[in-house]
Amino acid sequence: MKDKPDIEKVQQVIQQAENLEEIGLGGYKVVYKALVGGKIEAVKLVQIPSDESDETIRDENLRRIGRELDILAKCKSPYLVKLGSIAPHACEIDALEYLVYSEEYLPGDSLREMILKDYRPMREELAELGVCILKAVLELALMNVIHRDIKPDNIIKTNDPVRTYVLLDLGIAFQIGGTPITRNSARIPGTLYYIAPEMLDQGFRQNLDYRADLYTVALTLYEFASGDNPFAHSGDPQFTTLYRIKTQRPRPLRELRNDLPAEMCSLIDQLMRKLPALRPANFDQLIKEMERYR
Amino acid sequence: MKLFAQVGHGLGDKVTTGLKDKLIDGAIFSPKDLKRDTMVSRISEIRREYPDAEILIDPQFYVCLFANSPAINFGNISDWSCFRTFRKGELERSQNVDLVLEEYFREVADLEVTAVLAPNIYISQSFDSREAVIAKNFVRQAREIYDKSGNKRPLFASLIICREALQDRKEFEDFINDITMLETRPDGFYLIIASRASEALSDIYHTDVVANWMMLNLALSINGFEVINGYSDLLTPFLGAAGGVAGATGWWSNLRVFSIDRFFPSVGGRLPIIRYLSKLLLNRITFSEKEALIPFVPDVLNQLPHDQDYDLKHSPEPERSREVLQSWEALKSLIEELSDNDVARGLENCFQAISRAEQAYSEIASFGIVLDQKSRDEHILPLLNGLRQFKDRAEL
Repeated sequence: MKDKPDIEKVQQVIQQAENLEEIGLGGYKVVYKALVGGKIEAVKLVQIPSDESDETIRDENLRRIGRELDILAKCKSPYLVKLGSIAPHACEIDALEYLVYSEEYLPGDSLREMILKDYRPMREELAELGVCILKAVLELALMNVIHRDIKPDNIIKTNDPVRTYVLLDLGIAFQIGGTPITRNSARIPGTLYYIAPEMLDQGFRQNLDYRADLYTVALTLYEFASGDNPFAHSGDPQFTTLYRIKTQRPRPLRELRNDLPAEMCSLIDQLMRKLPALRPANFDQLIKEMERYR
Repeated sequence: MKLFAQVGHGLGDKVTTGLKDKLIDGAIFSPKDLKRDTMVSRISEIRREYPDAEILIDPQFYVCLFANSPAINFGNISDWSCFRTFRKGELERSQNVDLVLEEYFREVADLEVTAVLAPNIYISQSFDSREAVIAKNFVRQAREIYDKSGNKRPLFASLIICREALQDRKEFEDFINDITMLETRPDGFYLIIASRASEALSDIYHTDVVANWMMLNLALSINGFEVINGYSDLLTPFLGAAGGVAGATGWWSNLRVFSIDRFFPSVGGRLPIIRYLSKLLLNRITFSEKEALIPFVPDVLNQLPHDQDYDLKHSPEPERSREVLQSWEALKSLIEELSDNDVARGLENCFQAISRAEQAYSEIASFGIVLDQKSRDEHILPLLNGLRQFKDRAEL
């Protein structure tokens, strides 16, 4: 976040939270670990970008955050992050407008941190990740919501055996049949390295469905298993990555992890096919298949 | 993969012999070609004698939009009380679609079919058309209406698509993305790809048509649907490699390649020359060509029991009614050879079969033997390119 506010000032504004400690930083967001009512929670401070000459930008951002919170409030799956005890409210720091709310704090490493430590999961662990995240995506799909930002950074490995992996951040989730929030329809939401190929098509919102999330679940499993994002290589121009996403077939996972069952690798490869129709999309079957390897 | 008889007029005992000899697994009947009562009694007979046979009826509702064509020949379809003609505009109203489905399911309920093929219209131009919208509506509504009928047999939604529609890749991909995401799902699909004319083999043996027909089989099977291919003839083993569960072919050329021409008067002419389906050549050659080729390329002979029907020691030409039995036998054997549970391995088998055919045709040419136009190798290149395109797009 540009012009990140001073933590002392944040502390003054969010009086329900004590002992703020920064644990994450995004384009428009700072995440703090804090004590809220005697319990540790993740407090989110989201800047509401606005433009004096265009009031709709502020409205658009408010609606986006509101949608994330609405979806989170409805979710029952243990594999999706839960809202915390600070209800969303607006505040102002150094003449900038923010929205504050809290989510449960999930102790543990993100998959990104684990990948950076060269951690490679065993079969059972990879399958467990698959089952947890597929169940999270299923819950969203039943609400006609597409997450659109599933990636190693947004998945936490917890110490809780009931919910080993939890999916975070519904900030750019897409409601099928909902009112469009983004005014610029040409803009591609999501992290460009983790974007389903169909989202690069013109007018993709017309046809987008949960198979875009199945693709990114598979890409995340692939990267966690192999340590390699097959489309994004450091130093490459963004266009190269997007071109690869659209046209290049990733190396079969089995070539990188020959200790994993061939059928499991093949399933992950299939979910990364460019054409959504060629991805197996039956949740029951997918979850059952993954459960076989746990 | 199963092989079905695509039934037309001149049924005779072909289907029962095919079932007795285990050359086919069942039959797809056509209301146009048999009087309804005759069809009902033939189906009963078959079910009694061959209880394992799968018996289906293609509703042929797809001709309903052709009522204004002066020469249209509905044949015996009019025997079906549920059949009537429509204008496109009428079928844009979903209550009419529901009504067609409801009436058909009611009428077919008492017949001894093993599964029900739902009616649909013909997508005659493109996937981005009113027809495609109506067709998708038929597919979407089929399950719900069928369940209300109380019928417990498997339900297959039909898709009847002109080959031209398969040539626009973007529209085709949008279409399959749509139909693989149905909220109410039939158990499978009955697929027909239509040529402009039954004799226009180049319509079907076309790179895009082969590739996209296989893509349809793969996408639907990946998504848990069973795919029965109507009029798939020699492409049957290839569609099986792509995930199809069944294909069908019959005794006349209009039962091997589908064309809406089937509902218009034929131009007549002589009966076609009797042909022999050579597994090696992936093609039918005339019976006299078969005789001429054996001394030079003996492998054109399949070495299967029905080869003896083509033994010319006792008659100047094979018996016409045996021709289809030889075709079914050769296809069944080819299906067994090429099929594999793994799509990539099945596809590799198909490539090898084409490569063997290519080599055999080169050998034939090297002996200076000139074949009849239909017997030549014109199908090889589109097949090969179709398979290559399929392999690439299916990321196999």
